[in-house]
Amino acid sequence: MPIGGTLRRLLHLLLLVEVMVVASVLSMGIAFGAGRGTATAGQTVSSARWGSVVVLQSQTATSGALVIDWTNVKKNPYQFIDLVNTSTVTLSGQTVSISTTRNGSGNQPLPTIALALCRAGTWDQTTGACSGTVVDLGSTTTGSIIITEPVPVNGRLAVRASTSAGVGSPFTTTFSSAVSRTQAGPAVVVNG
Amino acid sequence: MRSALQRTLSSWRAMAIAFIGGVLLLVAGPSVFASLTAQTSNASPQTVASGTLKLTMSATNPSAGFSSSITNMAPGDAVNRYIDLTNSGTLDSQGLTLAIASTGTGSLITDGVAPVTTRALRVTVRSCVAAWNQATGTCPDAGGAVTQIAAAPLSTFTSAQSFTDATLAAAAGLRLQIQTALPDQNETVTNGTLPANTVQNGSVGLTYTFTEIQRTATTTNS
Repeated sequence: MPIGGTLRRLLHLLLLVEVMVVASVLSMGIAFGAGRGTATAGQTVSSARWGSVVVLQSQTATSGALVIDWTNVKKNPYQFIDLVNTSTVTLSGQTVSISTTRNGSGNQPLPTIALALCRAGTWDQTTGACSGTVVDLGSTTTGSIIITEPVPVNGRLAVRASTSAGVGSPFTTTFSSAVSRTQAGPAVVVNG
Repeated sequence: MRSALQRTLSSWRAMAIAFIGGVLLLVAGPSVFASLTAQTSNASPQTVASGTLKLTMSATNPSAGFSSSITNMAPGDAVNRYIDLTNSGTLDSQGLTLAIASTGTGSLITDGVAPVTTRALRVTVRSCVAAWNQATGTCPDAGGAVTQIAAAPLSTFTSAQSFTDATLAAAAGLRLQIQTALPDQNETVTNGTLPANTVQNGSVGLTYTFTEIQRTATTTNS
């Protein structure tokens, strides 16, 4: 008998054995599957969001920094702004960054910007009076002011920004807000 | 001397006798064997019943279990839900596992890979021999709570995770506390714009599948 024919028959035999082994293993798997019990349920989990934005008083919250151009500080020494909580959690604090630049050239020092909160009330833009309690938040030329006043979800803080500048070249102030995890309330454990 | 005709008849006679003898053997032979068959039967039929393997779960009152969604999780938060898992079949089981299929926000399912440092939701499974104190989340049993599956990211549960106590006798159950936690991590949001790869404002759908397999098959002699 030719050697090629013998090899072919041997290969056919091996193929047959392989098919039988595979079929056997598959049948075992089906058998194990039959002896299985399962229980299934679904659940939805969502995470919180935190943050705040600075806008002009009563304006709709939009992302981005607020830029104010102080053009006539002698006549308008105040700017009224809101710190809006855009979180899904109550904020325990936030950090407001202030950056001031002169609009033109000159050697005059940069003015200081002071922030005051009208707690439980609103600022009257005409008189500059607070209908609630005035709380001093701090002042800076260029730097950060950490505010620890709690703000509920969708709440806002009524803030008055004032400048130390008298008559002089105009300047621009950029207000930014930042909220870290630690300012977004403590972690909680819920049972039930 | 016999004639050729006589020789022919003689040989046909022998063949005919052999044929008739064979036919007689075929007809009479079985009758002889049948007469040697003996039989016996049980008076009443034997009963053979198969067992059942069933795994059921239900929320442990007053907890709503998995039907109660978890919302607004902040880093460091943990939510405990309580369920009773019962082998309600007649067969003992083994190989108890939990797999969770997760869909939704990737950062809540899989930990970030450097330089991303976000940490995904963790699930921990604990059991208590006594009824859980759901007000405090504690196990009042003297032996305390048993961690059945240690805290692991959701992505780990893509493959089934084994329970520490992987066997459940028929009709036995486990009182489970399923904890879902978002690990503490810091993210700072500036001017209301969420950072990249954030864990904030995400949502995932989780499908919990508990599985048990039948006890090892046995051979009984009696």
